[in-house]
Amino acid sequence: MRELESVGYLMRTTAVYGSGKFGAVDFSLITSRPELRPCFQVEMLAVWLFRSFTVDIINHMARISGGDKMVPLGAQEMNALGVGNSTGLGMAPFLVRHPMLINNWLLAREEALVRVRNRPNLTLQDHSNLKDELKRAQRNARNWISEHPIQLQKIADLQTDLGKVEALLCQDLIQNAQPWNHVWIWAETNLTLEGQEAFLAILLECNGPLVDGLADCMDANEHLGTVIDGSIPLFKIIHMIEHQYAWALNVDYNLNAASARFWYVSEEKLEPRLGERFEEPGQELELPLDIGRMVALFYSALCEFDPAAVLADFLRSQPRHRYIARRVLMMNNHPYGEVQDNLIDQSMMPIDLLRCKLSFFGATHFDPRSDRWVRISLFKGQDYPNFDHQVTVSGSHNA
Amino acid sequence: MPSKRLSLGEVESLSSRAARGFGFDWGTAEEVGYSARILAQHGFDSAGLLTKYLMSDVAMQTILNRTSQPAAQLGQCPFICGIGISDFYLTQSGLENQPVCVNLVRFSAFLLPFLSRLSTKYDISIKIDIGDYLFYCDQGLIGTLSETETRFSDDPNLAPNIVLTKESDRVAKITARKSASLNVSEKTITMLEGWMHRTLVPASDASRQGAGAAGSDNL
Repeated sequence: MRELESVGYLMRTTAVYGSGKFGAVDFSLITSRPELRPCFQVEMLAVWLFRSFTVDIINHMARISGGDKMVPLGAQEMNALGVGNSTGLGMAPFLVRHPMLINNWLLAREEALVRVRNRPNLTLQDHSNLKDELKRAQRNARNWISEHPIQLQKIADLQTDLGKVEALLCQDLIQNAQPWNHVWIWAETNLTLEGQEAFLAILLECNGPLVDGLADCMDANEHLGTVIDGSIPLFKIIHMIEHQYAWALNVDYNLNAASARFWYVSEEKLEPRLGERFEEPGQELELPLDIGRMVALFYSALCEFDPAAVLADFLRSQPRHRYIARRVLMMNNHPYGEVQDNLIDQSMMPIDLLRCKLSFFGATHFDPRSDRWVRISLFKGQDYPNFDHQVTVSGSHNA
Repeated sequence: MPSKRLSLGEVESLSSRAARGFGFDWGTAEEVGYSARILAQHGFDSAGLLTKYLMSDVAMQTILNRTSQPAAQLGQCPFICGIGISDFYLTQSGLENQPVCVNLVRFSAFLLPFLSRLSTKYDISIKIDIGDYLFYCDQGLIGTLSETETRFSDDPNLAPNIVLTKESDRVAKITARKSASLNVSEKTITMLEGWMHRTLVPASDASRQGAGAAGSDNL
């Protein structure tokens, strides 16, 4: 049982990137079904059902092996099981390649937080719910394991922070004016980023009816943003970059440390990997994930071009900037679409990208193995589908 | 001939990476991927046509000219032509303001996805007059006004003059084929993967170190 608790799963998935891979149907085939339209809904549904299959197959194997003496998995063991997933560098570029989608995910998160902070009252029931969710978070955090020194410190910080939240919840919060806003401001002031994110999850869990509808706003038709409006004058593009990408322009990419790495696709695994630019071959095959540096080069080229020209003229003259030009236009009304960091910097931590995405999947039981990959569990501690309710389909067979 | 069914996402990804491996910049390679996807969505063997294109003199000349149009006698590259029509759409000389005549385009079917995307972005209908046939793009769909099965030229030879017109009124109903996947011959896949492989880097011991679960979590 201890081993089950520690690992958190007996079966794990391969990539849960989306439809249209490895023989799965294209997403366009299911977009007309409202119940499957939210992001990764059908993939997560499949993972949830696979969790049941895990239990079925263990019980089946036990029956084959033990016959009449077979003992099925009990509720406690079943509860300890999720579906595992190991996520490495292969998933990191997803956050860069789908900026409109990521924008909508983060926008939903921000909107959810705004709604909670704006609640005027915190009732006794709310207070009790907060305590319950805190206990779940503490139980979850106690199961986190890592062998990586930076991650170990983060886990320690998280556990300390949850202790601070526990102390906060011992206070009388109900009498505060705007109590939800009060506790969030307290969290921003007193908790590490690890603790703040965990506390945010606690707040959202306690306000399901207020925020659950936002899940319907998290998809994106990314093909809508692919047409470049070449009629925009260059001075406007320059202004857009200065406004949206100041973080990218403030880096000196000539420093070796700021360009120390490059992303590429490995011939061996056909997956993205991170190379050391000045130590390994292959930088000429770099993937366009160095958004900050590309924006800076684009900006510099724009500033040297005829300011009266339009973007179409510029791109006809310098087509190598087409990729980043499209992106800058796409992000003009997507404020949360960019990972605002230098993704080729020596100090960049890929695991932060992975954790961001996995958190939106509802992943629990984080087990960071290094700064480049993490093991997680999905649906651990959640309900199982109730297969007792048989549905007759077309009168011919049961589903 | 052995074949494999690819999803639209796989068609797009393989096509854009093949184009990148062939030598296009990332932004143009993306356009190739979008085009292949949209044509496949309309039941057109875009992967096969892309293979023919990448083996052609017009593609080679386009790369040698640094992704501008090749010499006139070779005809126009459909992607460079499509990019021009799309990028300049709202400018004074663009399709928004006047009909545009396109001459001697090779692999002319690849022009259609650019017009399809314009029809979605600007909520317009575009008429494509290639002499014997009329095609329309509206709300992303590419098709005809009748039930008659008509195909845009997938002949790599030079297409006749094509006149593009933004319709003053929206087209009532377009008959278009729709598909969510594409049956691609293994030969085509092998060829596209050949170009795609030029974008790959041999893994090193350093990059394998701690790269992910596949490297060490199954031991």
